[in-house]
Amino acid sequence: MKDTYILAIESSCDETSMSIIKNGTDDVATIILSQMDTHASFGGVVPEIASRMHVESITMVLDDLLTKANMKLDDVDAIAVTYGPGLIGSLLIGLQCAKTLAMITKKPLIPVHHIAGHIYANNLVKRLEFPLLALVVSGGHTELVYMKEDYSFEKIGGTLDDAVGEAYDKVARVIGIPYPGGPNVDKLAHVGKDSYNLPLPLDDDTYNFSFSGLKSAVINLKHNLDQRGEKVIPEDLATSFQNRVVEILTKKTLKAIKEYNIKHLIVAGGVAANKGLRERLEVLSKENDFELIMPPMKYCTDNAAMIGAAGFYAYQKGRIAGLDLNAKATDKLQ
Amino acid sequence: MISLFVDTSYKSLFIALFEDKKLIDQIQIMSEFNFSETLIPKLNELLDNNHIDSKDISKIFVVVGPGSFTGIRIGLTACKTLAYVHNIPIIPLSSLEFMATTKVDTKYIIPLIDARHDMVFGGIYNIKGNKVVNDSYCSIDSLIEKVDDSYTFISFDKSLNDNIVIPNYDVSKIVLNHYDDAPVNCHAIKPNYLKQTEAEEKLNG
Repeated sequence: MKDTYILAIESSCDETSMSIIKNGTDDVATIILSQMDTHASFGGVVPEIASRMHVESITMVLDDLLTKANMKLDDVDAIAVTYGPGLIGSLLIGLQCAKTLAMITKKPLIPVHHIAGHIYANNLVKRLEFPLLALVVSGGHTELVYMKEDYSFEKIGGTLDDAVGEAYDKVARVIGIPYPGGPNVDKLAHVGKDSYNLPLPLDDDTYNFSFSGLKSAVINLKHNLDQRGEKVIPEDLATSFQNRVVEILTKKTLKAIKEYNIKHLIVAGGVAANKGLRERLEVLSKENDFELIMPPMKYCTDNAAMIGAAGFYAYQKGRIAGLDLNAKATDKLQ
Repeated sequence: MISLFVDTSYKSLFIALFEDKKLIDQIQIMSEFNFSETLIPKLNELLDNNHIDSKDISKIFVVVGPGSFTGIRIGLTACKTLAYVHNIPIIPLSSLEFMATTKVDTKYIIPLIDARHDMVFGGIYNIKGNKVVNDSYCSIDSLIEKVDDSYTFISFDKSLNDNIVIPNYDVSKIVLNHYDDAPVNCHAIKPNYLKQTEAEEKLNG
């Protein structure tokens, strides 16, 4: 069978990334230009600055990609692009570039949902097996997704307010930990004690999550201690917070694994890099006999390789967009 | 030699094709929010209607601002990509100068774009389309102080002043005025926002 090459573009937040993926599984070349250092001085991603940086670097990233892959545009079979969800101004840059390439080359344009990309990041390591459950955890998402086959997504639960990564960043700010908050809280959590009394958030029978209450509990705790003139022990607060987050995430994931009779669990998104979550899931996987699949660190953060992997299966399913494709800040995974 | 002109910087999407210095076709659409959706289909339509392949384009004129930050980037991203793939030189143009191609019977033309908080993006041009005062982020009053004779405000933002004339573009005029400008490489060309982001303004005090 002839090989299929997908050129993929991802610009949904603060990474300008492009990739060429062969047959949905092989990463021929990937370029990731991160803006993290710029946004760090503002304490978080500034959408307008992110958009400005994307437009300045977009053709350089394309040039680097074709050079690294040693390929020409004519060699690719289709153009895949993250159309959403994400920062609208950022998405638009990758989208316009992809649409222009599709117009010029007359190749199919494949719209890829950002979360589908995060799930398919794992396909670059090992071919996905179905049915599977995906726990998607990042700065913008906290979702449990059931897949009975390739490119079929059923969301069975998700956050009702803050995404888990967002809660990490906010708690980091309360404790006074520098940006990026998530990874830094995770590090601290490994040296602290679970000594603070924090609630287990939305501990109910649904597959939904809620982190704003837990975040408020952290803020109140800090406030009360401050008023009494007591000092917060940052590492202990990090540990207490992280333990509650990991407990509720794994509890609901395990419940879904049992109810849906799942043998393969995928963890995807930036928070998949969280050591506390990884360690707990590894234990549960052994105890409950399911396969745990987590992307290597390089595929946890936003990248176009995962969009190219997902794009291959979207292409096989005939999901092709017209040149009037638009970006969407929010959109259901389907 | 085929040239392409693209402007999505504010409330009108304007694309045009030139053969040497002669305008051969143009499309203008008035709309505020969906240039992201419409630019590429319209560009494809313009090329198809004139039996021109994108690789036949030898020069790109693109409006790089000021205007809507998102709008500027939509047109520029498409032009940069096109320029990169076919190695086409780009000539950046001003949105205000394009507005100033509108025919008037005064000595000066003052094109304006509402920049909120009682500020505008504005400049002063003479009727030949030449720049008299540089485009800037300023108040309308500060522009009026700089003219010594009759002038016309050109703008899509009617609320800025009681005497506003809506732009009636002459795309040939701006393209011919800049036909022999030094081109910019596709990687190096930048939007001309004329304004820092609020986050940068705060950070830089």
